Amino acid sequence: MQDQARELLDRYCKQADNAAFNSFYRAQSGKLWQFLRGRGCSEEGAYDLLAEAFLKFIQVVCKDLRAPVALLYRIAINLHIDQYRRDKASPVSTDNNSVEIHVVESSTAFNDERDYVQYLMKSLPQDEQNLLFMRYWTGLTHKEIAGILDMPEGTIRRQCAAIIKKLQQRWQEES
Amino acid sequence: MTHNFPVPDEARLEHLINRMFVKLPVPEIIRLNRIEERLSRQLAINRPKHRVNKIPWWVVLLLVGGFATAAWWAGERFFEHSAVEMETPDHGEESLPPVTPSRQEAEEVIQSEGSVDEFREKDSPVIYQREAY
Repeated sequence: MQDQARELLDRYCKQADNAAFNSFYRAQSGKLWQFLRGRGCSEEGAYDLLAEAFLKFIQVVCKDLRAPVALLYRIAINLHIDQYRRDKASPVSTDNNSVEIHVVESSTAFNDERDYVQYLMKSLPQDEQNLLFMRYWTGLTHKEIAGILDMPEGTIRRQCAAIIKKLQQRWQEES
Repeated sequence: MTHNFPVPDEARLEHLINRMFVKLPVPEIIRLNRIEERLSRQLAINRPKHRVNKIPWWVVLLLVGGFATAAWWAGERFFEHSAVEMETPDHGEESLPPVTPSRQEAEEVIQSEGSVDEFREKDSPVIYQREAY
């Protein structure tokens, strides 16, 4: 997937192929929107940040094509942090939308394993949820996530393994 | 909170996590298309420049410049040399006056002025004087 993204952006940068960029946008925009919602953005806020992130992305992507998806997520995270700081400095409106990953309410019965996994994910802190999102939904490598979060690759690898182990332990305890 | 699902191994759990994300709410296509249109307009403005490796062209330019300078310098030298050759008049040997006096003439001058090694005046402040033939 990352190779495909790189190939599309390579065509955009070297041949000025806008259609290739649009394909990249269609492949990544939905996931990035979900990621921003997962980080606590409102629905409208996620659209705004998405647009802003892509606008910034097109200005810098051609300078370094090694990990374009990671770059996009890093831009989006930075914009979200900036927005959070602005809102904190001058709160204008309150947004009580809950994160959509928390859709499944605690219930006594689970229809299938997926519901139960969703319930387990709810119990994880936000940064761990983000990590799992980037690793298992966006398909970023440990190295790319490390680049996004400014952390060593080994730390990300260990954290992912620890989260999986924690989920397994809880699974066993509750069975 | 109890369940009766078997504990999954790591690979199975990773797969389940991936499947769980499929159930996340999806954005509205119309909104995404609107952003795409905005981006398309921006792409038209921010068209990436076709990057050409300019180093070989600079090398070629330097070489051509070097050759041109060398050719100009060599040409100038060549034409200067031929112009001097053309301008030099062809005098006959007879027309040139003898520069060096003959041996006989020199001896006559020495005899008339006395010995070269002798000082004419011992008290003279002149301690060195060019010999005059």
